[in-house]
Amino acid sequence: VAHHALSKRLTPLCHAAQVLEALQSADCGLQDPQPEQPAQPAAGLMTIDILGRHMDAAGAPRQVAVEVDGPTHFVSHLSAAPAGSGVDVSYSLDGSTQWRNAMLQHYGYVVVTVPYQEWDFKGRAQRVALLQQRVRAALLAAGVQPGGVLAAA
Amino acid sequence: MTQNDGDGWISVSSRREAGRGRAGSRGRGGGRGAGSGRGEQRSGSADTASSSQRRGGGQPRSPGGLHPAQLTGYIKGSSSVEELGRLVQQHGSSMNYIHVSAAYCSLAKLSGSSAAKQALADQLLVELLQPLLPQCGERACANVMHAMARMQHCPPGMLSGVLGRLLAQLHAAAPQHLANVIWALATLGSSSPSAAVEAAVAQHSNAVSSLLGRFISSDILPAAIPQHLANVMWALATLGSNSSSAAVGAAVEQHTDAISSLLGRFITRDILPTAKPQELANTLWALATLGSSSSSAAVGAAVKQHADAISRLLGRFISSDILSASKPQDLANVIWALATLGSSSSSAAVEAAVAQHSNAVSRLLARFTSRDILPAAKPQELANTLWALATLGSSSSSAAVEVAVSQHPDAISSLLARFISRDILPAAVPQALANTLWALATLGSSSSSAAVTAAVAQHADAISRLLGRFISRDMLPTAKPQNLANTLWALAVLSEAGLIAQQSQLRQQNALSRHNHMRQLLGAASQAAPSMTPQGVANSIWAASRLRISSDAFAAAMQQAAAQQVKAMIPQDLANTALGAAGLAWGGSAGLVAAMVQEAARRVQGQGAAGSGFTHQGLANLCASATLARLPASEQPLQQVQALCDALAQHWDGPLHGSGLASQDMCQLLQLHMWLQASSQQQLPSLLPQQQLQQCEAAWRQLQATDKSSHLALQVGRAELRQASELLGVQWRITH
Repeated sequence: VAHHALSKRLTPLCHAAQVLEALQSADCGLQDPQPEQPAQPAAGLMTIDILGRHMDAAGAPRQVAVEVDGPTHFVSHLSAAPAGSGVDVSYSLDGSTQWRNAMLQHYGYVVVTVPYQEWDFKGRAQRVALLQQRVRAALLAAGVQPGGVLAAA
Repeated sequence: MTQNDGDGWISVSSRREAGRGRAGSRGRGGGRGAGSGRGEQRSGSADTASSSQRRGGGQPRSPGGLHPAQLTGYIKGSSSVEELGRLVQQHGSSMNYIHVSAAYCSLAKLSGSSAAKQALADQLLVELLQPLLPQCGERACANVMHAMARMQHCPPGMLSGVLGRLLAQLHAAAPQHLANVIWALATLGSSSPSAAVEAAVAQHSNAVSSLLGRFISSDILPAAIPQHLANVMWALATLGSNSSSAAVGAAVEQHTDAISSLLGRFITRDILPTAKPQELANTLWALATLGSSSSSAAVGAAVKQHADAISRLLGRFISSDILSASKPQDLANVIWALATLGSSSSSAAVEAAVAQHSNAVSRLLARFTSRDILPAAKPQELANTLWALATLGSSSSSAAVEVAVSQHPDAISSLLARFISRDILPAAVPQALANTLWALATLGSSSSSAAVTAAVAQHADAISRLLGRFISRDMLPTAKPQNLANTLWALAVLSEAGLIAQQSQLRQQNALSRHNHMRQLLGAASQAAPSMTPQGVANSIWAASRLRISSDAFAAAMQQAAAQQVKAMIPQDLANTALGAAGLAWGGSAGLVAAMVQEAARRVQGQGAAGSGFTHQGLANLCASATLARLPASEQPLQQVQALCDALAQHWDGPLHGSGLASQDMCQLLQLHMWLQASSQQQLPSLLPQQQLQQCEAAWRQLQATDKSSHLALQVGRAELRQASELLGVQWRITH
């Protein structure tokens, strides 16, 4: 039980490390991913989980902040399962995390979030595909035309 | 109906409600918590009819050939409702008022099917007694009223009839009769299941006044024995604090002299040594109730003048001869009174009187957890005692009392183990479960003693059992709105204290089961939201945000309830609602946060920061809510948050309510500053003076260094403690 609890406590750190490893070892559209980077201009006040660079369709570099979000970033929405007495759970980002994302966007970053629910229980290929899909979606949402491997996706 | 339903529940509503006015305030005074006793006498409650019988001795025999005295004997000897019913059918037409009153009083003591009992009670009172009322003596009137209260039987018009007849003979009434009638009025007026009965009692505020005046007159009081004094004291507390009628409350208020007179008599040399445990316990319970929950400052002040009497009553109760004869209910009442008097009184003298008896906690607990007592304790007595221990252990201003509690983790453990045992748990009502969860949360998270926290932690399984029972099908629909709000609050605190596993730490099956429990709890809270107090709404929203759970129905119901109650919320409610809603990030969160910030700014600007009752933490939490809800940097919201920041800037190092500006408060202010600067199209002036902003940055950097993963310092600890105390209506004193 103790081991179980400990491993769960370490999970967020493990997730971030796993995402970094995937970004470094496969082409997910990000160059030079670095962990725990200060957010500019709020250096020392905010830290980005993983900071990378994306070359857009026009060849311009875009700063991409990758945030790996564990359970403490979500609110669980509980509803009765249609089948019977069970429960259906859906998740949304909490206020604190939405604020973080909005701040990073104001600072000019393209924000990519990796929710733990989508990361767990996936094989390596699926994880790389997930990262590519989320980076691409974030770029498009920010009005950036993706380049490189993401251009064709 | 007030929250004291007469079963003696400690209602964990806010004491803050007191003084907000009586009308329409369901939660008023609930925090006072009725101890577990209804103050009912164990013996000698109804006078015997023997002497009356002698008076009736010259009456003719009934057609059945019975002598009136014989008939009285048969009536009193009836062992069942059916037997009594047969006597009434046979001899009803020839019964005099003494027979009818004796039959009615006998009926009150008999158990039987409620339908048969009700029918016979109606027949005796309406058909037989009503025509005889003009002849009815004062003793019979008093006995009938006592029986009416015992049975909660009050047919229309009968209360007025019997009471009016008694008042016409007030001069002749003995202490016991007066005490019984006052007790009966309190019982009918506060714990009746029927609002109509309470309303009937409310019409008799003049009678309450006359009866009290007569009881403390020089003719009567010197002849009163401890039982009478204790019953009247109990009735005073019940009528004064829980009555739904402002008129009755006012009648009690006019007799603050009665408190002095009763106590003066109670502690005399010939009375105090003869008082039984229950009488002492009920009197202490009544004093605690009057001193803390009455909406009348005058009544509270009257109690506070009697620190010496309180000390002597307490000293007497913990003497060996009394303690060894005490029952679970007595002990639960005294511990409850101790907690209430010791922690919530604004009178240093009363607190000191309680603190003088710091050994009382040890002695009371030793007795309560003894082999004689613990197995006999009822669920509510256990729940009330745990509640009292939590209160004494966390918020008492007396370090000695706090230490005394911390020395008894074993007792806490025993009480808890007993509460969740198979005998007790199924018999516990929602309020007992909610109160026990509250006590666990308070003891587990805020106690200064590691031993107490460890004792609670050993019973982590108790929490899921309590919750499981609370949300069971037969319990949840009967839970009151406040039980639901308190349970949510307790779960949030327990979760933050690590005493229940975070959802993410559970294995899949357990996680689903927990989610299902929470879903049901949220569902019940959603339905109850329109009936919740402002504090209940605020705490439910806050708790859900700490537990990170919501549902569509919960969001809709709580947002609507909060929006409707904004004017009635105290500063802490505004801050908790705003912070909770911002954290949950509902679709309507921004609107709700804006409403809370607007109201807070209006109060701060109108009454000043100190006058409006905000703490540094409350103001900082409101600023944090504005940040998290990403309020736009447009004119009106800016002016409002600026008002909050100005209030903080003015009281930066100085006192406001609460313990001062903490580094977490500063972090929240910096976040607001960062948000507004980043989101505004133009350069905004700083919300705070440069020097203060630098302090906020330093605090933020320090926090980042200690917890890099924390993007927002939501405050726990101080917030929990204050909430815990305010939930129970205890005036929290910051001691750290």
